[in-house]
Amino acid sequence: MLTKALVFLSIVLSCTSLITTARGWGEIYPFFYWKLFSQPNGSHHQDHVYRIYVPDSDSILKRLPIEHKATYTKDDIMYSLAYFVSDTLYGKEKLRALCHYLYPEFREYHIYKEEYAPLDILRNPDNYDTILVTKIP
Amino acid sequence: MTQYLLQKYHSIFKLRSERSSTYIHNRIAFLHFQYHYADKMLRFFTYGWLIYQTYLYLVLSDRPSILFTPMNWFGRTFMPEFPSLSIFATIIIFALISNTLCIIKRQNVPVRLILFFCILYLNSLNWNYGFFSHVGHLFVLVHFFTIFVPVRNPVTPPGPDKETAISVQWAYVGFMASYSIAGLWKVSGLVAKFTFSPMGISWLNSNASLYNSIVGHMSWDIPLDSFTVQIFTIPYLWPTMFLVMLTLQLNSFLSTIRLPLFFWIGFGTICFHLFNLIFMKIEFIITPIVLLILFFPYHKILKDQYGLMTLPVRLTNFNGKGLNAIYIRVYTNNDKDLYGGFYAYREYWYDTKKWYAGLLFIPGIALIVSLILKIVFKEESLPEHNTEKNPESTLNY
Repeated sequence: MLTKALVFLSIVLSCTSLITTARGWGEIYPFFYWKLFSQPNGSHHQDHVYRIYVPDSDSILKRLPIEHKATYTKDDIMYSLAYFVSDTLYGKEKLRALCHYLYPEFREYHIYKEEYAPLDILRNPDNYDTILVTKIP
Repeated sequence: MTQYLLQKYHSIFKLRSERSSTYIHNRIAFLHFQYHYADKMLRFFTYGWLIYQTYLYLVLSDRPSILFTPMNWFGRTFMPEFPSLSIFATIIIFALISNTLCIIKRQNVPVRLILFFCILYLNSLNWNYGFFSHVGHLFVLVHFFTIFVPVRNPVTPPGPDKETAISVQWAYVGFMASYSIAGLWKVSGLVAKFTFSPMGISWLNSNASLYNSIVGHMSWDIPLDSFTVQIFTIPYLWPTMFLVMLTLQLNSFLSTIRLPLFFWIGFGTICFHLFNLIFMKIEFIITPIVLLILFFPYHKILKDQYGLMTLPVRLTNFNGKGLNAIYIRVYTNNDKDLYGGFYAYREYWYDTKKWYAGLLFIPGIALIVSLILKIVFKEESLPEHNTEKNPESTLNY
């Protein structure tokens, strides 16, 4: 019976989470909110990624492809970059720390948003638009 | 009201399902037996998880402290900054001790509660670097929903226990419901696409899986090879796969309620995770292992022990055709289960081990097939000779 109560408790809590998330108060119950892939990625014929660019010796920008670096997996870097870019309060400071941590051999970093259409990128991997998001000196 | 509608539905399609207490006993035995072994395996796996989490802690401790960013109230309250070695070590030791106690004394609820809180705390390490990872959710949820599931060996007297079976049933409903909810979000996504938000493509578009895979590969900077692209452009395959997967997800919470679906749901979900890892670059490792532990067919390997707990079927009898079909199952203690209409077919096929039989227990299938039978076999009246031949079925009319 207690297990049944736990199931109902979690249903109530997740419904509450649904409301609190909609109001922007965050999730009160860390589980049960499973809005994963409710639409296919790129369903609007467009998607984007964030990438770190660094100036070369001839001050030409070089794109750093995403890779397992230091203690960060590809997913860790991908999600952290996206979150810190959207965080207007502490984001820039954290971005700087992240870039220094991942690529200590460079001094200056440019974060670019790369926008692409899924079918175009399939034909030509370099077919994306670059938009400067922030410069970290 | 629902009772009335159910009766009406059963009488229109001649659906009958009269299950004996032996059927109930066998069902209780299966659930108790399954979780008894799953629980044991889960405890051993928990040791491995604790070692892995310690390794993760050591890896993460190398990161600059400024990058530590709790993502929800739990993190902000209980782990506002990266935990010091002393706090972390204390929790790990508590977890190790309570996990060991859980193996020795399996019915101790406070110990299971402590273990759950330790695991919840340790898992939240994943939630503090700018994104809220779903990794480890199922593992935590399994520990959460099984806090009050008492487990003792069902083979030794007093044998399988009804209370335990009910708890096991609800625990599985609890953690598998997360997949059903993920399925509901996909339904809501589909509804939105076809109503107020028609922009873009839905999961039913033939390119949807290709798009999803391209984005997955692009986010990891891996080019999509032409072989994978060819697979993704096979016509009609992917919308169908999506619907199969959606059906599986929506029905996940039923795994222990409709036991014939148990292994379909368990292994279907494992395949789903492996497929996502290979083709979509969506990485879940611990989850499929936990699913394997929960849904492993222990009764196939430990046949002798399982046989001691369950009562075998002595004879079966299938009679009639279409809506008039009757299936009777007689156990060695002479208890009888009786099924009519489409229920007779699916129970008969299930007992004769037809591979597809389990799938016929998906809700809605009985209604659709019965409706077809009703239309196709409309002209056939009650086959009198059948009722005479089979004295059991005369009871029905």
